Amino acid sequence: MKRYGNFLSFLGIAVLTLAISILLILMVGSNVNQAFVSFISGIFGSVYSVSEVLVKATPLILTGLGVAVGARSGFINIGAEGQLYMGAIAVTCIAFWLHDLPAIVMIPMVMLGGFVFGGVWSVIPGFLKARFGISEVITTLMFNYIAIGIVGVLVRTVLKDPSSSLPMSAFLPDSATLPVLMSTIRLHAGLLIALIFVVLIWLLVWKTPFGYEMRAVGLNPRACKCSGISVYKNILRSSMISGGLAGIAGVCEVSGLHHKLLEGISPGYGYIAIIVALLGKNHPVGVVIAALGIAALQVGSLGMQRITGVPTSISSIILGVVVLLILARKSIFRRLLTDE
Amino acid sequence: MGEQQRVEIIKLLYRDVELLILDEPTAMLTQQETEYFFEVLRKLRADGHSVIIITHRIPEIMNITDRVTVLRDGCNVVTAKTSEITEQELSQYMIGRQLHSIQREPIVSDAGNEGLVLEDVSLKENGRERLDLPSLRIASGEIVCVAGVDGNGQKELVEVILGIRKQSSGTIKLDGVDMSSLSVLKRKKLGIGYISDDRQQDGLVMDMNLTDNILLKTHTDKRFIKRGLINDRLVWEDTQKAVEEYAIKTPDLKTPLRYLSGGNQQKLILAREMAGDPKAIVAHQPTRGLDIGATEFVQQQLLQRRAKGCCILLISADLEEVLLLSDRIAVIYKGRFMGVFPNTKDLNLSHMGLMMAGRTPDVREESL
Repeated sequence: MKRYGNFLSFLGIAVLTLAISILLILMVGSNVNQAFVSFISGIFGSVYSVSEVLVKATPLILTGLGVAVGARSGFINIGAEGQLYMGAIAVTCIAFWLHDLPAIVMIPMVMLGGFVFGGVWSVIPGFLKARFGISEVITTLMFNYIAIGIVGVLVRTVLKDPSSSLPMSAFLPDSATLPVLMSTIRLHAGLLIALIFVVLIWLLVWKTPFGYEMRAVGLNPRACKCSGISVYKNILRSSMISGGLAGIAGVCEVSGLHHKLLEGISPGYGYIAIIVALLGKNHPVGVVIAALGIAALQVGSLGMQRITGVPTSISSIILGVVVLLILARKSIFRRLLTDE
Repeated sequence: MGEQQRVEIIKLLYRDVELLILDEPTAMLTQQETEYFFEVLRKLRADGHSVIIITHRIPEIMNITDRVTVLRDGCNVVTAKTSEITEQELSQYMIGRQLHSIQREPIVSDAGNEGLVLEDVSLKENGRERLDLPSLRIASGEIVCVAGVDGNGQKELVEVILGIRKQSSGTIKLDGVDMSSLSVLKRKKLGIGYISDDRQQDGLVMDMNLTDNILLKTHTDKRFIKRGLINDRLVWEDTQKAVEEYAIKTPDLKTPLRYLSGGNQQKLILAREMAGDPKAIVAHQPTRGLDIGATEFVQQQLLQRRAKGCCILLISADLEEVLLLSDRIAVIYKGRFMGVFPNTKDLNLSHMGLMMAGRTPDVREESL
C-alpha cells in the first residue's frame, strides 16, 4: 500500500491541480478545451516555443541549484534574486572595463566575476548567520532590495548608455556575449553552462568530503562540532557557492539574452528558485526537472493568453496551489501513506 | 531534563487517567526522585488505576511491578508474576543468554604509550569557574573513572579534552604530544576516541544512514578518497565490516540511524570511535539508556581496549559501573576533584558518597 500510496498521492495532487485550473478557466469565461489545447501548443507547438521553455529554465536551474546547495547546509537563501542582479552588474562592469579581451578569455572572466559578486552578496548574510546567529532569511531578503537598487542607480549613472534616454546600459562588446545555439531562436549557451554546473554541484555535494561536511552541518551542526567539522566554515562556503550560482544566472541572462544591463532583467527568477529547490527536493536532478516544469507552465500560459485570453496570472496561481499541495501532501493523503 | 520529565508525568496524573503507560519514565530522574515517583505510582495503584511501565532497569521492575512481561526482538519471551521470578532469570530472558561476569585483569603494562596527561586544566565561562583540576595522568592500559553527580563539570571536562571547548589554562598531552591548541579533528587523528553522553545530538546525524555516520570521522581519511572523490564502495565495505564486527542490527546500511535502537546506535559509535586503535578513549556515560545486553557489550569493549594498552577516561553516574571497570576513581564536585584513589576492595563507599556531595571526610570527622 505504501509503495502505491506515494504514487497515488502525487496523482491526487495532479488531479486536484487540474480541477482548480479548469475552475479558474471557467471563471474567466473561456472554453476549457480550447484553453488546454492552446496551453499545450504554447509549449510544444514549435521549435521556438520549446526553445523559450529552455530559455526560461536556464536561470531557474542555476538559481534553484544555488538555493538547493544552501539549503543542504541549513542556509535558507531567499536572496537569489539579489545575487542574480549582482552577477548581472559584474558581467556588465567587467565587459566594459576589459572590452579588448578576446571571447575565450572574456567569457570565463565574466563567469568568475559573476560568481564572486553573487557569492559575496550571499556570503555576507552567511557570515552574519555563522558568526552572530542573525537569521539569513531576513538578511538575504533585504539584500535583494539593495542589489536591485544598485542596478537602478548604475543604469541611470555610470553604466547608462549615453545615446539612449532609457535607464539601461549600452550593448555589451561581442566578446562578452554568449553564442546563440540556433540562429532563429533566443536559446543561448547559458543552458549548457547551467547543465555543466548541475553535474559539478552533484559531484561536489554527494561525492566529495566537502559536500559531505555541508550535508552533515545542515542535518546536525552540534554533532559536526563534536567531530571537528567546522560549522562556521561550511556555512560560509555553502553560502558562497549558493550565491555564486545565482550570480552566474545573472551573467547568463545579461550576456546570453539581453546583451545589456537594464532594470527588471529577472521577472522574479530568484524567488521562483526557492520553489524550484523545494519541488526538486534540493537535489540537482530534481532541480532541473522542477525548473523545466515551471518554465513550461509559464511559457504555456503565455500561449493560452494569446489564443484564448486567459490571463497568464493563472500560472502563478497554479504554481502556488501545487506548492501548497506538495507541502501538505503527507497530511492530506495520510491514509494512503501509512502502512495499514 | 529531570524537571521536564516530572512536568510531563504530573500533566498526565492531573488529567486523572485510568490507564497510565510510561516509557522509561525514570531515565532522567535521580534516585530520590525515582523513589518519590514510585510512591505516587503505588498510590495510583491503590486507587484502582492501571499502570504499564516500560523499563530496562531490573531493580525497578522488582521494586514496583506486580507482573512483568519481557519483549526481545519484537517477540513476547515470557510473562510472569514479579514475585515468582528472580532478577537473574529476568536478565537471562532479556538478553537471551547468561550474563558473562565481567572480570578485570590487573593492568598489563605501562609501555604502550605515555598516556593522557592533564596538567592544571581550568575552564572559565561567562565569569564562572567550570573546571579547576589538579594534574592527572591516565596511564596506558588504565581506566580512570570520574564519579560524581551529573552536572558537576563532567561534560566540560570531556569537551576540554576533545577540544570542543577551549580550556582557560593548563595543557593536555597525549602520548607526549601537547595538543592543547589543536583542533578537534587533529586531536582525534592523534588517537582519541570519543563517546558522548548525548549520542543523538553529539555523536550521530540521525537522518543520515550508517555509512554516512561512519564517515563523520573518516570523511577526510585518505584511504577513502580517490582523485578527490569519496569512494562509495570502500566506505561501504568499511561500514559492512563494522556492522559485522560489532553485531549491529540493521535492515541495511542505507537505513537512517533514527530507525535503529539506542543500543545499536551506540554500537555504531563504538565501531567508529574505536576504529584504528586509538591511544585514548574518552567515554562519557557510554551505557546510559542501554539495555543490559548492550551495556555489557560496551563494558567489555572498554576492557578489551584497556588490555590493548588504551588509556580510558570513563565518566559514569552509575556507581556499580564505576566499581566494576575502573582502576582509579576521581570524585568530581563543582568542577574540582575531591580526591583520586585506587579502586580496591576496601574502598570506603560512604566516604566516596560524601565527596560526591562536596564534603571531604576529614571535615566531617572534625565537625562531629
